[in-house]
Amino acid sequence: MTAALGPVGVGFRSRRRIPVTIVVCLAVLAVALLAVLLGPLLFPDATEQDILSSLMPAGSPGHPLGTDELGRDILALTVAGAASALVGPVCVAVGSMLLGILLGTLAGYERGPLDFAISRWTDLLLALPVLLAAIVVSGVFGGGYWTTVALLILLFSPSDIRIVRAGVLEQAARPYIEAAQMLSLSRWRVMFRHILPNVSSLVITNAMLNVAFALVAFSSLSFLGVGVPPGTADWGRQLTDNRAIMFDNPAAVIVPAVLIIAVACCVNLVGDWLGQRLTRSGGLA
Amino acid sequence: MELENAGLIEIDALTRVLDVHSLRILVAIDRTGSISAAARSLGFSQPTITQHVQRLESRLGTPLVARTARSASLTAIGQLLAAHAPRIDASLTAAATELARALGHRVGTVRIAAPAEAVVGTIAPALARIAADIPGIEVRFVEAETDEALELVRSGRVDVAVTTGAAGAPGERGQRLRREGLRSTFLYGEELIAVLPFDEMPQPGVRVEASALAHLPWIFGDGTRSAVVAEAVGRTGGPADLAVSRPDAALALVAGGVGVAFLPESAFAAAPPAGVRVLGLSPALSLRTVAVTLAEASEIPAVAASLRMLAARRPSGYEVEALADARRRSNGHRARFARPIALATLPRLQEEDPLMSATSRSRIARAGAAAAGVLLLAACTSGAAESSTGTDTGEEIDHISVALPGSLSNLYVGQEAGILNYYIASITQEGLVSVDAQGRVQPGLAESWEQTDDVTYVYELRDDAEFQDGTPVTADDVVFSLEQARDETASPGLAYYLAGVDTIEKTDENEVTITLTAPDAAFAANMSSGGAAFITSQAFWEEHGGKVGTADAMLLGTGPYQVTEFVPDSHVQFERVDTWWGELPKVKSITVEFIPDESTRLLAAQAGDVDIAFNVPLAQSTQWEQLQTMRVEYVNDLSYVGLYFNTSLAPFDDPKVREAFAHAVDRDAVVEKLLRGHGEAATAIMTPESLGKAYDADEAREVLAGIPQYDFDLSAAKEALAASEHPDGFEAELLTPSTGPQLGTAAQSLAENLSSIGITLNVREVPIEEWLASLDASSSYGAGMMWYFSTLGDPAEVPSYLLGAGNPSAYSNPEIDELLAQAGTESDPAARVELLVQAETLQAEDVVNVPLWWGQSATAFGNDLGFDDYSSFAFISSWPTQIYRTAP
Amino acid sequence: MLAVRVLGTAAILFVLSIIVFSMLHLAPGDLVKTLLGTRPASPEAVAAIREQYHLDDPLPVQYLRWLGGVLSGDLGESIRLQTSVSDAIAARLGLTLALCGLAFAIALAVGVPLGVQSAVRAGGVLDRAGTTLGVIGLSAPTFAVGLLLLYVFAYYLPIFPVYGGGRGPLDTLYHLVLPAVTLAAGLGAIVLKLTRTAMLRELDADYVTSARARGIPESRTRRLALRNAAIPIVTGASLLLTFLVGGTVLAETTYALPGLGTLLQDSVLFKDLAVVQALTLLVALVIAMIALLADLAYLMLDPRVRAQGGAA
Repeated sequence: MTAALGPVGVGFRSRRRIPVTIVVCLAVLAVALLAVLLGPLLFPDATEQDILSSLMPAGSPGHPLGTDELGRDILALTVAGAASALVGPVCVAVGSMLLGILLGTLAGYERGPLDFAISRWTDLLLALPVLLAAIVVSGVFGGGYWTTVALLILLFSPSDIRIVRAGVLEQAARPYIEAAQMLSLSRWRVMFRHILPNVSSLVITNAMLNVAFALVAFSSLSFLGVGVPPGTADWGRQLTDNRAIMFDNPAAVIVPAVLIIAVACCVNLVGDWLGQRLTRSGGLA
Repeated sequence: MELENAGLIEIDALTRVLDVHSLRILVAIDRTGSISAAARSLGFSQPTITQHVQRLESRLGTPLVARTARSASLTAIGQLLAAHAPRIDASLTAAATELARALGHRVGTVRIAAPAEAVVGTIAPALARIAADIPGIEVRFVEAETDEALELVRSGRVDVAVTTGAAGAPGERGQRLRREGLRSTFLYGEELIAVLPFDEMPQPGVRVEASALAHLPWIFGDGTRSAVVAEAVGRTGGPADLAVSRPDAALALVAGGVGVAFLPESAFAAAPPAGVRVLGLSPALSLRTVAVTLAEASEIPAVAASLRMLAARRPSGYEVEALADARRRSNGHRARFARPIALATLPRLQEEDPLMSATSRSRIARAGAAAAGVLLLAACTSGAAESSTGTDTGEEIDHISVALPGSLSNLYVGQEAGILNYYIASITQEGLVSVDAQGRVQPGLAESWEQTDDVTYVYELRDDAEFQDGTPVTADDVVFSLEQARDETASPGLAYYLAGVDTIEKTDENEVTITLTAPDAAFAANMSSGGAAFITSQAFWEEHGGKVGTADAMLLGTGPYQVTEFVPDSHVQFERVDTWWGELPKVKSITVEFIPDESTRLLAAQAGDVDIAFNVPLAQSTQWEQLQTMRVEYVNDLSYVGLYFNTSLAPFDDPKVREAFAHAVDRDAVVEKLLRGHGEAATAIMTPESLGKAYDADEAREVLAGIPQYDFDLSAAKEALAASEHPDGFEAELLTPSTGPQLGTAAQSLAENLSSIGITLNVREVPIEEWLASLDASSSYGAGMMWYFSTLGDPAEVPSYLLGAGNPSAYSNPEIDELLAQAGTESDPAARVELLVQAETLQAEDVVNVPLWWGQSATAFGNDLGFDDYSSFAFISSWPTQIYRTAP
Repeated sequence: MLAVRVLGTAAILFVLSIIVFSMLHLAPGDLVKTLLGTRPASPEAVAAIREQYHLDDPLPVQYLRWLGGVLSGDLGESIRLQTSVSDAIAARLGLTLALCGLAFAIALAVGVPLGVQSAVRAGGVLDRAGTTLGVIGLSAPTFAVGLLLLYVFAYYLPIFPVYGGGRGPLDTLYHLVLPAVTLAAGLGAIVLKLTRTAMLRELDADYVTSARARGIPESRTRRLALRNAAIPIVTGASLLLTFLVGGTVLAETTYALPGLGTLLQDSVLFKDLAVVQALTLLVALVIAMIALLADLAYLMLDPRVRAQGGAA
């Protein structure tokens, strides 16, 4: 991929050492990825109940992290729950990012009526009560996992669109774009090969944020009948379900909460680092 | 003009001349008949009195006392003045007593006159109570029969006269009394009982016609009330009639076969002697016992307090079985202050208390899971009233803070009829009747009532009831309130309870008559604030155009607390008023805070911001129990949770499929593990407490366990499924409400069990509104969770909803309909339960509903608060009156 | 141009109202059942209630009835609360506005300076600490933050009240501190991140290098950079505000605050049409205004955009 037109960054592409923190984060994410891929294989029976072993505290024989109200092992649930917890939010973030890139670039570059329409569309989406959308979706389409992903992509997209649009607006005013236009490059080329890389840092940052938000959004929608049904192996769902038994087996709440926070943190930190690298090397602000 | 002024000036001058002391003197002279005797009775010397009278006579310019050599009597003018004296005296005494109180002196004297028979049951306990609770009041008592006692009150020589008279035409009597400047306060009513020799058995049954006994010798006299009965049936004296002055003498005579006697209920201190049979009268004759005072005297704080104490004591004694039948009648007073009348079979409440002391109760609560523990807990908490820890210090409580686990958008129960709305509305509003700790109907705004035939109810209202704004409660207000409650557009939440009502009419100044379109054995309790009766003033309703219960209008009721502020979704504020007819409660103001988030509520309690917390989530109960400053009490809350099937949807139209589900439910594990033992595995739709009128706790459970049961047996479930038309299993969806997490976990447990026999049950948690919408025969869900809260505990309530017309299961069984219809009209509780048990047996055979558990709810109280009679029915009547401050 | 904008907004509101109306109709739940509760209802009762609220009229008629009311100034009546919608909203508006305003102010006041400093000394201690805290603030679910704050500041160190909106302006502010901080935690983290990223980009730009080379004092250079960074920050911040409007629900629930968030939530679940419409349109109006203000801000801040013909 060639660098964007315009003044090339001063100097060589320095290959900096990857900071320790980032290494740790990448390791955490790798483990999470493993859990996502292997979890259902390692613990196929995670959701099996055993009501007689209900509410055993962490450290009980056979249940290092204890059990929940219905006797399900917390460790098994957590490992098996990685998939449900992470795949959906990542899809939401990616989907929203793609929508944002497409519509935001069009709006910011083309301006005129297209920009008007897209901007008003985002206004509309933002004004729509999330709750209402969620229950209608659950009522009309059933409350499945992927329906929820689609819903959240739709609801998260305005933020990406807006951010991309603003970034594009700002870039479009720059001389190198003027130059490109004078060269009669097709506008798609200008948009996606020249402007986009320069906006990428913002976009990636926001996408990482969205992963974290989507994680939480999934579990908060659960009481409405959307997203994940009760009893599923899913960190967000476990967090909601087990609030009631917080004091009987704290691990049931703390473990998924810590994992959500940890993964989100790592994603954000890695995202930041990536953003910095994209900014400093190659593409120019 | 000048003439008028002159006239006014003259009267003004006269008032300045008249003084209380002079009036008292005139009264004393009138009574004693001589000046010296009068002087003695007043504690002055004779010359002082004479001088005083002479001075008054010269100022008024007219003689007041006619003196003869030995005696003195009042002239016409003197009589005129003396007639006013008692009332003026009373007013001034009231003022003086309040002044003394305000100045810090505790002073008050109350003089009571009553007949001898009333001493044991009414006077003595009341005096004891007054002495205990209101120190500083001096009580003087004199025995006097009714007429004499009334005369004493009229002349101002006693403050309170307790009198007994035949019931009937009370409105007229009340008017007469009012004209004389007297006021009556209803204490209690009782029926007259016929006492016959054992071998005189005119006909079978529990009642007898008095006229049928006319041929026998009757025993009259002061010890009996035979005279009243004789007058009522028009029997003139017989040759062999006797007269005695004491009830026990009369009883002895009857036992000896000498004749029959008619006694009031309270005459029986213990079971009647052998050789004697007691029967009710048909038609029933009752006596009303009232306390009569001068209208002004009732303002005197000491007198007012004494009146309340008198009203609170109900003579206890042997309850005649005949009169414990289902015919509705007044039981006397707010039973919350009285120990309920002990049926011969139930243990007395006082004996139960040591069993349920504080430590043993919390130990049981913590042990929780053991099956024995569950049973013990169920037995101890089932319906029976418990008094809470600590003795009553009698202190006033300035303020209590109540935490509600949800939010109210409207205070009027007709608009929003959730269980929490009932709890809050009952603080400030009342019905015609109230419900006591045993779930029995007691007087409320109606001091008595009669069911004159099987569809007609006549309610006699208290004449001293007032709304919180001071306006009196009239029969028109009652009729109006009930008509609004009946209207579905004005009160969608209450209209159902009044669907069977035909007419509501004011039939006398203080009387309301209600007729039904068909007999309904459950109707009487519906006239309480646990049902559909929330009496408000017509003027208030119309002033707000029918939009009551909102932040602007709030509520106007007759209860002891008035709503002073309501912010929907935030809080409600109540202040105590003195317009209530009952005893002044100890709590002065109440704030109810809406805190839906359970963690926040727990934190608030930990921070000490909460005095009472309703409906503590059972899953958090351990945490609440560990709070230092609060304790948790559990009670069966009359709620029912079960599975129900929509028999019009495949595959649930197949009884074998339903049977498979029924065998897949592990009730005991659910109760033990998911409810932490706070609940009871249900054997039927009706809860044991709802059978309380016919059976005690253990018997009720036996009766209900006789209904066909489906044990937890997965192989039986598998067999049933194999025998059905879907032997390979299928997939179905079940909704659970998000406000009931325990239903969700129970459903998950069921789903797990079902998956092992090939049925996939997808459990979906939805908001409560969506869940409510699915409770319909037209919904597309074949299996559902039923969660029903009953406020009044009528046994037919839940079965009618689940099995009768329009039930959510689309289930139509003509036999059951017939049984339900019969149960609706059957007045004998045991027979009624029998009919309902039959209906339940039929539905169990069809497996339309699978009972899961009978619920318990937990309430947290601050350790410095005590609560009288905490029971399943505690919170649907004026419950703040039962709160007291305990000794630390 | 402004007129076009206004017309556009009006068009949105109209379209939005139709969408919301249809969605409420489609949503599961039944107004009649919600009013009646778990009691059986006679067909007459159901018919009477449906009649009372015009539920049997054809949908367009119901919609037009509502629209007619709004255009003549009557926002309608809340079925759940039995008061006029304007009263219901007015009673809670102040609290929600105060909460949002406070949270936004805190987020900006903490996030922007921290973001700038982090960018200036990229990789330094402050940067790392700020980023980490920020990331945690972002990733933790709101209710967890709320609970934590409650435990620490209302229970262990009883400085703040546990719940409720308080009475009186000063007391209300006092009650709102914890909820505002809860909300500001996530928001502030985003602001910090945005500011930092934007500042980093600007500080790397040519004109900064040349400014430094020319000897212009650092503080002035930074100010210059900040002005340019302002555009994405302003975009992000305006977005934040709109999220805030929707996101107060969680805070209101945890702290038992009777605000607009809970009103909207309860009304949606109850299917209380008039309230949902009024609130949604209000939110849309606010968002449109904020977008307009943001675009105007570009004009002020970026002369290049001004030259290009201004905002759409």
